[in-house]
Amino acid sequence: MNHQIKCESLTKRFAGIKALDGLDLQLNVTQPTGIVGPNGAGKSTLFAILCGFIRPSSGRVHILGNRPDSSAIKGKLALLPQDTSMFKGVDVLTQLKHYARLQNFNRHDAKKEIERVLSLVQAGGFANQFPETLSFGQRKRIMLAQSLIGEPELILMDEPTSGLDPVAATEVRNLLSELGNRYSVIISSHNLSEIEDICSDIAILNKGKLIIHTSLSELKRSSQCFSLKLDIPSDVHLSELLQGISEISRIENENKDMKSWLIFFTTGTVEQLQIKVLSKLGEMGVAVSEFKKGKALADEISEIIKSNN
Amino acid sequence: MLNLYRLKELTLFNFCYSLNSLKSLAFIIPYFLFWYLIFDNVILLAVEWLQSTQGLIFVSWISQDQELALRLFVDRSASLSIYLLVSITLTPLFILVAANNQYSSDMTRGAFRFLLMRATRAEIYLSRFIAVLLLVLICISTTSLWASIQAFLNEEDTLEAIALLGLQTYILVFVYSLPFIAFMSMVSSFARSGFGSLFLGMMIYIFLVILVFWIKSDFIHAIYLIPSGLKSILFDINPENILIAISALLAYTIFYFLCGWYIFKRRDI
Repeated sequence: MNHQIKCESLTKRFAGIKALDGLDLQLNVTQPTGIVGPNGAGKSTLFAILCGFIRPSSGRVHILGNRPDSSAIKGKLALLPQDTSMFKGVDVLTQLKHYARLQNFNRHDAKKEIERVLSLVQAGGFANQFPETLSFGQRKRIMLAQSLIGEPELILMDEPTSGLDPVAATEVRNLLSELGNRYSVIISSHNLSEIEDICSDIAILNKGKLIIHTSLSELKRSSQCFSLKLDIPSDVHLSELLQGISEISRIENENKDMKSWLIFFTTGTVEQLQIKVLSKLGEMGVAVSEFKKGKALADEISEIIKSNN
Repeated sequence: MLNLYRLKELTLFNFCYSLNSLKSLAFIIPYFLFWYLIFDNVILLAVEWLQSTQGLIFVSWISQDQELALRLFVDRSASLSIYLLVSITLTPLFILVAANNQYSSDMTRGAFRFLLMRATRAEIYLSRFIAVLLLVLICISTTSLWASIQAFLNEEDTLEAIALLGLQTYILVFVYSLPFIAFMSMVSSFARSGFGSLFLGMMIYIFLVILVFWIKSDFIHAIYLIPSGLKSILFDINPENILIAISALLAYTIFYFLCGWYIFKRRDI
């Protein structure tokens, strides 16, 4: 099977420190995929190697069936960098047209393509400005626009909403959710709610190694727990209120605030158990404001990372 | 490995981009201002003086070759000979300014990342080199033409003779600039900033010149470690010697260019 991304024993050292440590990863991006991990996990290094910005110290890497520096993948792979300067003193439109021309668009089609991608990211208004005069959020949109030129086969997005104000971040996130349905997208982000909103698959990296690559739903299913939040803190531990339900193995007060709880169970049908728990709490007069299958993604990931340390 | 369409597109963009940049203005304005001053004020007086006995004695003393002095300022157009002499002498200085920062700052700031998603490193490297080459070519063509017109207007040679000598002078000046462009390609592929590339280029070149003059008393061929060692051969009238000098200059160009490519290929972007 041909994978869009294939890394074998990929290692990258920076001054003796291993940013990637024999990474083995095979990805076929049929659904938006998130790459997560703590600082120094190797996410940005992986992206930089995949794009040909840096060379691996050892190991093999193939992207879209070719080596990262291959001429054959130019224009098929796109990147939304975290924060990179464009050329100074050249207006945005000219730069984007240049990128389109490099992707084999003729002058007329390049103009149309740039109009298309700028309107997709709602950035048509500042096409004639110089990049250095734009705000960070506006530059981010332009960088997003350049990554969409020519409908690339695969788009890598490095921290797509970092540095944006909440309104702009929400707009970009909505845009990414929409794009995720049309393009093969890999997102590297620290913002796990963003990953949860946009991605269906997830790969967790830690210390330069792949820990797990799975679907988000599978990850949550495997955790065998409910997380719930109460309207007001409970006076007693929930294990006292739910002691009649035999499937429950233990209950944890997540933040020691008597408001956020994790209910672990062993067997049983999840839906039936969910009804049982909610009805029992209702009978006791406990109001639930949030009820989810599995833990919060952040907890799930931090537990996986801890168990691998 | 090289896609010619992308190479053309990158070169055109780089050429237009470089015309906008401060670096090019720092070259173009002083370059043309200098030649304006030379052509407008100095060249006529210099021609008159160099063709006089005093002038010929002076050049013979400087070059330690009376025959060369006669060939340059009596047998050939003195204006074009002065242009050739001054150009060749100042080429390292002008070209180090014109060709600096071909890659450094765009590589450090990350602008190359957008290009690298669409073109190979080889295409980017070569296109930047060609863009500088075009800029230098246009400037040298303009001043060579200007010098030829001056020679035609102020001297008694025929149009054909001036045109032929003008073309020969133009080729020599241009070919002499090539190794310096390639030298700056090499320096700018490892420098971290535009200013750093200019500073490093000048320092390395000055160091090499001092080194050559230091060791040349023990080892006469040390002069050929740098392209400037070939300067005197370029003034020769013998076509065979000139061809050897041109070949050597092209060899320097290829050597510096390949060293730069080796560094650029491996550098993190």
